[in-house]
Amino acid sequence: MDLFLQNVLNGLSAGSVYALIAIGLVLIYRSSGVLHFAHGSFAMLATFVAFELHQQGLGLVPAFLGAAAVAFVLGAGTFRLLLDRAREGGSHAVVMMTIALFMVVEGLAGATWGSDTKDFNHYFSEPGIVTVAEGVFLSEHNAWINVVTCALVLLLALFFRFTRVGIAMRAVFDNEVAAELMGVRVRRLHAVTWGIASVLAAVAGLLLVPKVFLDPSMMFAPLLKAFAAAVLGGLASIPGAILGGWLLGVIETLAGAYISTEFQASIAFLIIIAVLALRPEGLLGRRTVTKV
Amino acid sequence: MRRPDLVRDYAEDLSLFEDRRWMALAAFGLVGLVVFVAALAPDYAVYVTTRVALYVIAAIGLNLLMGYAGQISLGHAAFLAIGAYTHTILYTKGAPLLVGVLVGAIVAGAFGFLVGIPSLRLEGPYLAISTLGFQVAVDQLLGRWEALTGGRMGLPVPAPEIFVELSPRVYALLCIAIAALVIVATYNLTRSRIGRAFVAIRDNETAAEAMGVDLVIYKTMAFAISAAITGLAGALLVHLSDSINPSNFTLLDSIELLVMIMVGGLASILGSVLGATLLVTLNHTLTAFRDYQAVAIGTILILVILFEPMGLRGRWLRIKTYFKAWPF
Amino acid sequence: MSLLSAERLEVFYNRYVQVLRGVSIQLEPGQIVAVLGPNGAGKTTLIRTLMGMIDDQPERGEILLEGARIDRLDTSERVGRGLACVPEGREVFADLTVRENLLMGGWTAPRRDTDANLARVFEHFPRLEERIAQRAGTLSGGEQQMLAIGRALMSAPKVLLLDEPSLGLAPIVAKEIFTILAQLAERGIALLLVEQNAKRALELASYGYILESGRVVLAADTATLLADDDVQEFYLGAKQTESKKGYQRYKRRRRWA
Repeated sequence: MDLFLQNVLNGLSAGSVYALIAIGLVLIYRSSGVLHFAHGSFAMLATFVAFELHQQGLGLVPAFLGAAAVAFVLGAGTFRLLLDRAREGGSHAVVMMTIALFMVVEGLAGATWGSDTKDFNHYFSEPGIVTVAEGVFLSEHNAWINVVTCALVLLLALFFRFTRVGIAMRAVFDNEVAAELMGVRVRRLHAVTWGIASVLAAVAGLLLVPKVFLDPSMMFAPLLKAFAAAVLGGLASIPGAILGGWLLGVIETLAGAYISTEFQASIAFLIIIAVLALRPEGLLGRRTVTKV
Repeated sequence: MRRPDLVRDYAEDLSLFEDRRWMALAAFGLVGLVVFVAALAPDYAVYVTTRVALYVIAAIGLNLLMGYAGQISLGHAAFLAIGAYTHTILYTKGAPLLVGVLVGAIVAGAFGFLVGIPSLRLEGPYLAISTLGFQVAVDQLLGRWEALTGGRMGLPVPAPEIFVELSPRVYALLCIAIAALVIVATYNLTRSRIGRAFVAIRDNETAAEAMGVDLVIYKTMAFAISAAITGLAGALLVHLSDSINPSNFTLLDSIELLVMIMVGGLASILGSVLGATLLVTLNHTLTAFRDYQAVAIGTILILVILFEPMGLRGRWLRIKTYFKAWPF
Repeated sequence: MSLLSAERLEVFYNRYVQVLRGVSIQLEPGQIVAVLGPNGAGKTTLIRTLMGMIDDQPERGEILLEGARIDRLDTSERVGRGLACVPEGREVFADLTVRENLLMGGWTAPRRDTDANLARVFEHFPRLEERIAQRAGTLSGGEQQMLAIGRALMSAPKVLLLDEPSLGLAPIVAKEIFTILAQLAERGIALLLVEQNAKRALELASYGYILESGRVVLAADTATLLADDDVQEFYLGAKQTESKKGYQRYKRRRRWA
């Protein structure tokens, strides 16, 4: 039983990272209708930026803040300069644009930093252990992941509930034309949404990096899983994405522990396919009817 | 005879080429290519030409699905893989080459049909994710199912043989011939009842259904035909080296196919040909800049989407119109 | 100088399809002006053009608000200068609460005015105050229309553009809405009212424009319009003469067309 709890707890930690990325995917999808395949690449780039800044002798906190700023500008700028125009070309053009960005960013990172892996063991990963209950432990690193994720989710909820900009973002998700009629500069708000989403992804990258190695493809597998989490939650629901991330993390860890570690990665896609076949609107999503 | 702007009868509408002169030019080009490959070209050029011909086939397959029927697929390299592995396994067991290739195409088509089934319920973004999932799943399966696929090590491929062993030059000619056949066949398909049904689904699914286009049949058919054509290319691709392994058919290869048709032009056979030719040639000439290859391809794609959403074909149409209307 | 005036507006969709062919309208403070016309005449396009919702349009002509050109400003700036819109089909933010909807209406207004604006809206629509925490999507059609109007009022507009405010509402609810519109005009807000319900619109308005195929074919005060034969027959549905055999004549020629 303790082992089971232990696995669930570890799964939640893995799932938190997926959730953070998935929230960004959902934000971007809901605001501008873009499926952002370069989302993980942006996170990877931001993580490299933090690494470089830290190498230059900056403290960890300023380095992280710098990475977050870069992520924000990258996300917002991408929307303003590229995606906004690609949207005019239709849905294929939009998907291909983010795929092109994925190629460019991963390619440039590979050319700049090489594909040999680097260690970026910042202090979140000190090998301490937190005892949660008798016989159930949490590595200090996983504890940090959970704490930071929960804090960010809470912040985000408050932001959307109580701030002017947050309410406006929800209004834009809901009805873009009406929001524009109210005088909201919709494109600017989309850009901010992209920026926030990218910052969340950057945080995910920074939380994850001590567990894996720093290399240009480090965020690829997590991005795929975040897609699965987002689909699990219905692609348009933020609470759904969070729940989906946690669920995926737990299922994956349990499957790894009790079934086989070999196909751990395929499980994400088995879940996607099962959900899409049985409940395309996601676990929390509402069924929408498109008017013709 | 130039094709008149006003199509006066059905035969004219169905005529294969818009303009007889273009047909002559195409035939002339084909003959030139055959002569080039058969006699003149150095070995490496023969190899590259074969790859171009096969990627033309694969790109046409994807374009049929994405350009004509409007369904996105991020997993077409998986169909390449299915065609390739099916053919290799059969061929190693002694099946004749063309039979293996054909069965490879059919098996790929069957998988295309299966992947097409969720498309009946899913639209754009979900389909992108589920085809991406298919790609990753096939990739993993090929790597793990060692008894059948040889795992990450892959399978050895015997030399191509139809009664006698085919030299690379003869094999290149075979591939060019098949590519030409595929071009003509798809050109006709897109102008048939089926092709019009695909376009109707792309432009407005609900309206198409209301007009009597059976979505279940035509959407899965689009996937199946597209996958079969791509699988055909995959089966033929194996003979370009002496072994295959999963790393030949990754997500990046799927993306490359997508780039070909985006750069060439969606919903255009000519575009598929141009795009595949450009991409494959670039891949084999820019070997010195291997590090920046993905960057270059990505940048080209971004520029195309921003400035020429219709791809090379759009640029070509514009140049043609410019000269037609010259001096205005 | 009028409060809002549009001069010879010409608007194209996709560069080729001309929807407005030289439309001019004027609006004075506190005045209610009706715009009538059949489907496809360009009424909604007129409102969208005035709000700046169509990119790079109008192609020709100008829009003046209090004497200043606004036709090249974006929607946000126009709302800031006192233009507000109640779109066709209400278009409330269904997932947001009533309060959040209203806050969105006051997006361009100074934050310190929010409470005063809220109070003013609740004065006109006490029912919205009762439902302040409710999700807008769960309101009835009439309540949603009230919310749409209230939301537009949150920017303290000088001019309110209304696109079919009575569409899909029960007659009694529509009547209630129109009573409130009259009150708003008394407070000095100018209303431009696009309506299918010509009778009610002309009762409320003091001046009216008839828009057909992108042109103003008739512009007059409502008394004149109500007396006009064509308006009577085509917009008010009054039968001029009974045919001898008892069935309606096929079609009357419109004199203005």
